[in-house]
Amino acid sequence: MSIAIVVADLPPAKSVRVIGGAEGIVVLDVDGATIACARDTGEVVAGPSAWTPVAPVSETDVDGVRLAVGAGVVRRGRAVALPLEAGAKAVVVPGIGALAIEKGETSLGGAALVPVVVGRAGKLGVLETLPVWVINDATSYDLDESISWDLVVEPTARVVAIVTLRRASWLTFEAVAQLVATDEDCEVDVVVARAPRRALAELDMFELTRDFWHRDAPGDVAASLVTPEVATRLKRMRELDVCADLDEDTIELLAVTLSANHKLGGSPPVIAGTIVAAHLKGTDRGDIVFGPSAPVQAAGRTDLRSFATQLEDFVFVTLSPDTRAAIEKEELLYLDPPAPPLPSADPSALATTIAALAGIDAGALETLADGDHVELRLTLDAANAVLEALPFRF
Amino acid sequence: MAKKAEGRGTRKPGDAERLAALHAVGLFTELSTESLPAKRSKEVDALADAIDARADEIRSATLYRAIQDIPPGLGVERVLVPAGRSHVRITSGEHEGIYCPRTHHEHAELVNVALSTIGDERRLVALKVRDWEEPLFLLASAEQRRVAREAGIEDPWADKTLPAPIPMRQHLAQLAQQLASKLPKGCPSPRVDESAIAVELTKRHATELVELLYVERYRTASREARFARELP
Repeated sequence: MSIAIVVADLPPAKSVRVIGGAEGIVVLDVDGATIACARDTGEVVAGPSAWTPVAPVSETDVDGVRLAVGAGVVRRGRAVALPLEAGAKAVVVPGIGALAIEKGETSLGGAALVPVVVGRAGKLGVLETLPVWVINDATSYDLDESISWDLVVEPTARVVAIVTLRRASWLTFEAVAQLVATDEDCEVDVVVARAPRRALAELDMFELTRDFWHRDAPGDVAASLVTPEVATRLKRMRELDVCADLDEDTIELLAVTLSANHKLGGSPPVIAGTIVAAHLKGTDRGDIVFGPSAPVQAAGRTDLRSFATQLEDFVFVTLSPDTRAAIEKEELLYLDPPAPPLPSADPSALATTIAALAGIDAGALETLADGDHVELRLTLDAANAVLEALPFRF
Repeated sequence: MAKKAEGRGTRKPGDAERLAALHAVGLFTELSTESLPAKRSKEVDALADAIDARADEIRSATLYRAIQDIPPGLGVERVLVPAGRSHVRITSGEHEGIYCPRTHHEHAELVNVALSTIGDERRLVALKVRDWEEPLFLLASAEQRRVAREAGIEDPWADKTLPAPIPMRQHLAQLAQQLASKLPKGCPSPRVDESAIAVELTKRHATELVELLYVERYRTASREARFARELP
C-alpha cells in the first residue's frame, strides 16, 4: 500500500495558513498573498474563480457513528476513542473518521510525530512516524520540536493539512480513508509528492517505508462493556452528582469497570480495571489521582488521560459524606477506606485507620498513648488480620 | 452351586438391602441397585465405591470431598473461626481453644465439635473411599449415621482424634514472631501477654506501618485486577 503526502510548492515564507479550498485546489495565505496549490501535486496553480473559506469541523457521522474531537480526546459516540496526550492534535475527517498526530519517538530515541487514524469502530491505526521534513526547516533526521505546527481540515479540497509557519503539507481524505480501512498491520510506502524542482521531472517524488500497526482504543473496551446495568448506574451517579468535576467519559469508565467487576463475580476490588473510589479527606485539589504503587505520594497527580488508557489504575474521588452514603447504599462504586491520615498523634485515629486497612472492626484494636509512643494491643483476630494485610519483607 | 451363583458378574446379596436402608433415611436416592457395578473385588465395596465415584452427582446427601477449611452453610462459623492461615479457633464450649488441624479428618473433627457446641445433632462422617488422599465426608443426622455405619459405607479406620489445642500464649508468641518480621524496620519486638500482642510504635513507625498496609492493599488489588483481566 502507498499513500502520498503532498507538499505545497511554496516560495520561502514567514507565514503560511490554509484558508480554503475548491475542487482539486488548496488555497493558502502566504505572507498575506493568496496562493492556490494543486491538491494532488502541491504545485502552484492559477487561483480558482471561486473558492470556499475553510470552516472548522468538530464532528462527523461515519455510518451512523458520531466522531468528534473534544478537549483532549477523540470520541466515538460518548466513548473515548483516543485520549490526546500533551502536544497531540486531532481533527475530524468528514465522513471518514479522525486523524490525530501524537508526539512520539523514533527507534533511535529522537523526537517524532506519529499519525493515528480513528475509524468508526475497532482499533486505532498507527503510522510509524511522519517524515520530519513536514516540519523541519533544516535537514535533520530528528524532528525540530521548536517549530510549532497545526492540523487543519480543509473540507472543500478534502485534505488534512499539517501547517507550520513556513510550509504546508497534506494528506488527502482518500489517503486517510485508506489508512482507516486497513485492518492488517503492514508496511506503507509514504510517497512524498511535490512540484518538480528539476526540469525533467514530472513530479519530484521519493518514497519512505513506514510500519503501520493497530492498537486498542479505550473506547472500544468501554463500549463493549456498556450494558443496561451500567447505564442505570451511570445515570444514578449523575443524579447524585458524583464526581462533579469529572468529564462524562471518565464517569462512564468508572461505571463500566465496576460493571466488569460485577460480571466477573469478584468481590471488590477484583475489577477488570480496578476502580477504587476513596474519600480523601483534606484533598481539595484534583478529584482524580491514580496509583497503585504509591497512592499517598500520587495524591498530587492528576492525569485523566493516563487513567483512560490504563484501566487498572486506581481512581480516587472526593465525595461528600452524603454522596458517599448514597453510593454505599446503592453499591454504585466500591469505596475504599479513607486514605491514611498524615502522621497524627491521635492514637484512636491511628487505630481506626489500621483497622480499616486490615479489614477489622476498630474495636478489635486498643491503643495506648505514652508520650511519643503509641502502643497497639492486638487481640488474636486483630493480629491475624494485620499479619495477613502486611506485605512479606525480604 | 450357591457359591457359583455368587461368583464373578453377580451382585452380592445385601447391596439392595443396604441401599434401601440408606434410601429410607433419605440418603443416596440417586443410586439404584442396578447402577451398582456388577464387577466386584474383595477390596472394594460396590456401594461405597459407587458413592465415591458419583459423589459429584449426588444431591440427596451433603457430601464434602475434603475438609480443608470451615465449610460454609453449616452455621458453625459462630463458634469455629479462622485464626490465621493454618489455625482455627473454637470460641466457646468444652473444647474452646486454638487448633492447628493438619488433616481433613482433623478438620472434620473440629467441625463436629463446633456442631456439637451449637447444638446441631448432625456430624461429619468419613466414608470409605478408594483413594485415602481424596476423603469423602457425609453430613449426617444421628439416624443417618447409624444407618451409614450399618450399611458399611462408613470408613472404620478414619481418624477421629481431635487435635490438641494450642495454648493461647504460645500461639500469640508465634504470631508475634511472624509480625515482628513484617513490621517497619527498627520497631521493637512485639510483646505478648495472656490475651494480646502489644506493638510499640513511634510516630515514624506508626506512619510507616499505615503506609505499608495501605500500599499492600493496593498492590493486592492490582494483582487481583490483573489476574481478573487475564481470565479467559
